[in-house]
Amino acid sequence: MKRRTSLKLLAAIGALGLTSSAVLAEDFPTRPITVVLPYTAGGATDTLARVIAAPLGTVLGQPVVIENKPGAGGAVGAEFVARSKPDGYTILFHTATVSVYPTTQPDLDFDFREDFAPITLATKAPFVIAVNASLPVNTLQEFLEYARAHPGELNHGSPGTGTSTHLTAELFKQKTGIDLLHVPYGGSSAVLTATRSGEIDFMVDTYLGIQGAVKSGDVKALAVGTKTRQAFNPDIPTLEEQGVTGLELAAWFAFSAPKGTPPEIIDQLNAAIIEAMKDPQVKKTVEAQGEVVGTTPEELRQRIAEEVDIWAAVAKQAGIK
Amino acid sequence: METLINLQSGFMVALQPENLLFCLIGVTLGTVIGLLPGIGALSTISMLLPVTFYMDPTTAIIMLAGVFYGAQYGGSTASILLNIPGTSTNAITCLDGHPMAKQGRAGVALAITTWTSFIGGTFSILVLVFLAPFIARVALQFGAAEYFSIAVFGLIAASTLSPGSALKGLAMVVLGLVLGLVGMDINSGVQRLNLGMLELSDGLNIVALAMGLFGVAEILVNLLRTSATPFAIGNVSFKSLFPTRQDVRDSTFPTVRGMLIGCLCGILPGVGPTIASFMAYAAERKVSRHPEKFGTGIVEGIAAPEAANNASVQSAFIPTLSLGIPGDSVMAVLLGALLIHGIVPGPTLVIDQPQLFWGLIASFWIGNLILLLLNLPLIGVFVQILRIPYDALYIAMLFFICVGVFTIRNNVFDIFVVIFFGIVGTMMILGRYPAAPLLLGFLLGPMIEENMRRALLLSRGDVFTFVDSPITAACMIFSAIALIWSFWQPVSQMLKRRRATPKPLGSTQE
Amino acid sequence: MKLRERSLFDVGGGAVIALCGLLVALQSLAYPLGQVTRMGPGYFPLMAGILLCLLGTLVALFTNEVEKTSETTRIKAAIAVFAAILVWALLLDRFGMIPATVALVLIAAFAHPKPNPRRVIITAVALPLLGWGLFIQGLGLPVAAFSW
Repeated sequence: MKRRTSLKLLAAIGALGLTSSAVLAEDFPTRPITVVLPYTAGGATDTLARVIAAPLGTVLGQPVVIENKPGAGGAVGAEFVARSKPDGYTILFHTATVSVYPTTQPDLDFDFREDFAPITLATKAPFVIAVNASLPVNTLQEFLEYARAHPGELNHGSPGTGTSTHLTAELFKQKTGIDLLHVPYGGSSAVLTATRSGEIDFMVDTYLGIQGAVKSGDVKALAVGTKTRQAFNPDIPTLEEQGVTGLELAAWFAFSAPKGTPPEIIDQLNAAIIEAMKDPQVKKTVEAQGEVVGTTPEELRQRIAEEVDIWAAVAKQAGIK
Repeated sequence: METLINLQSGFMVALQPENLLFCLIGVTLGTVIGLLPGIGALSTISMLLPVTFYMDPTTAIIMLAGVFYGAQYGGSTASILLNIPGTSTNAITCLDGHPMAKQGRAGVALAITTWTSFIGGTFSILVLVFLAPFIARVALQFGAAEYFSIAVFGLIAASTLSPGSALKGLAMVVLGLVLGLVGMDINSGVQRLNLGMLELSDGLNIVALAMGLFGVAEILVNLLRTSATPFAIGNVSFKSLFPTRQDVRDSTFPTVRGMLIGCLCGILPGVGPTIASFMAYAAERKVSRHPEKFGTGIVEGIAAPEAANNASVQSAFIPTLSLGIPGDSVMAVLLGALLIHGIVPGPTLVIDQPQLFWGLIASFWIGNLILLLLNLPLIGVFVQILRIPYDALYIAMLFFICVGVFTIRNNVFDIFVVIFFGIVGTMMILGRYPAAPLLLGFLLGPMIEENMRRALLLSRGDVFTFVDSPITAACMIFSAIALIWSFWQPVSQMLKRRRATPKPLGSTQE
Repeated sequence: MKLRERSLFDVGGGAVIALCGLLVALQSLAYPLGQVTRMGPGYFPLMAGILLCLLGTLVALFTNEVEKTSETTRIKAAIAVFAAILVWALLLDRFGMIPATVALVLIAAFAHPKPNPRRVIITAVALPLLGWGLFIQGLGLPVAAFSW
């Protein structure tokens, strides 16, 4: 089967990669690696992690096991990894929410920037701006005009106060100067339901969640938050095209290790993950709502540092604690 | 009719050997884990997800769904035989199911619950087949104000669930409500009552709570009695395994009422099988001519909730498949499983993937049939569980509770929650404080608060939002009626008694 | 309402409930209250706490249900059960599921008034194996059987 041969190819490439860096690190890995997933099974993040874990295990030569440790918006799992031995056998697969922790959960027992060694920003999923279909607008510009003409009357739904989705939407609202009432819900699917029924006028989410509603016409996807149109739905125009420049609205998913993990192991994991993401199954899953990235550890560290400040400013202006 | 043609092709898909096999595996596994206290459909399906990656999507979903509704069948077995709910949705079946077992009618109870589960499930499947898209659209009409009014109605109507002191029952409802407030407040993002513990920021987990209150407490209370044998089984005669004609007559209407309530509850996202079974039980008590008999072991008390929870479990697929809106957390995981395979539930699902849709529906019916055929003969076997010496049985139950609760979040903190509520639950049983209302308050309280605040937010402070739609107005009226009714009955009874013979006040409650 | 004739559970239980209500109400004052039409996070808990306090007091004053029984309650059983669960939770991460379960069985056995040594040993062997087979092998539970 096509999959098996490509996996064999991956394994061969991986073996080559491993032999070169094995000269530096002691034979890592010699036992299974645990990827802690700080969210519940069955969610989008969980799916992504599992789909990467399989080829990653092949590349590394040891099985990669996913362990779900949900709670506190990802903080429970993150804390667990922060306390784990920095030997590369326990790593965290997390989302952009970690940049929000210093603002929304300042009394956590760890500081993500201090206590973690980033490995790589693996994938990105752009946010799509969607509105209820019965609104008399068809483009982003029309919506912005409508919103400015009716300040405070339209409702903006988010999956929870202080989530990165909420803050992203607030950033958008602040940059475009529109005033919508924020209504928090207990999760993305509740927000989508409310947007379809008209209880909510405006929401922001990654494409996978809202796909069905867009196709059936219950919501209108007005813009996608990246510079170029996306393969998952080329009909959605970008923010740039519609006059909102300088904003990138995307969710991202990354791997990080506890502080103190040896740099050779970080580099090895970085290379292995990037290699594993070439697997066609991974590409297929990722491209359903975004794209594979694979940055260097330093790039991830930089990104987190920048975002912490951005979100802090957004939260302050929006009055979120 | 087009639907019938689709159904026929659905059966062809469902009857393929591979799908049939995995349906069988799913429902059997579901029954077993439903039987085991602590481990529920949610943890099992989550653990099975990786296994399903490499399977054909239709087969995978057939199996996972089988686990889900199979667990409802198995859960009632544990409730009846052991007085420990197999899953939290079967907690209410303990109230009348276990007394029936103590009276030597365990077989009857098991038979009735199996049949009503089947009937309830089948009803929902029929609704799913013929009315799914229509109902899904109607479900969309339910906004925050509607959910609030339904939850209030549910709470008032069901607040006199258990026999005994009404004051204690009410206190338990409010206590449950308070426990439900622990964790993050959705409307403001503020952490409440979480004692500074990170693990409590998502609230108390209901499985841990239920297992402590109902599971560990029950085991401990049995052990505290010096004789330490819960009850003698004696000889289970063959005849006692079959329901009498009277039993069947008595359970007909409760089953019908239960399945209607359950079907409705399953369709509304967020209202799950637990609430459905509680409401069905409460409704039965309200319309019964002999409400005081509830809790002593009557068939109405088990037929209604079991029909309700199976109906709700099947009807939860309606919003999930037709709109892509998960009805509860298990549905969310199933939805995730579908998305993994690149299948997007929604109105287009029927068009894009007719084989999956109709094959799945057909498999529901086949699965329920398998469960019926599987469970009925096994009743004789299940009753033998009671013969296992209690001194090994209780240890096994403690173990299963521990593992089951751990698998929710892979966090031992939840086990500490079980210990805490085990202590609380034991005190409650000894002090005759009913636990069922606590669970109800725990479930409905947060729903009431969240939706009330959201409705007021959306209406910009207009209080009339709670009565200005047909659904909300109707619920509010019914709530008012139920409230007046529940005060009227005991007051008028008390007045009647006072007129008849002078009696000291405070010696009788409801 | 003679205090001596009423059960400890009724009076004490009601008092405990009332106390909980009081604590909840006090704690809820630490959160912003808002107004009725725009409730803050503290509003509902405050109301609920007050209501709970009220109900607890009423229960303590007015219920009269539980007959005093002369059943001796064996505290040893309670300690054994809870200790068994606690030990299981503590040993799970450090030593793995099998040692934790063995400990659970051995400790929980003391909860029974007349533990049968043979049955306890059999359970201590069979149950961990059953758990291993069903959960770790069968369902893929991410817990180590042994880990030290």
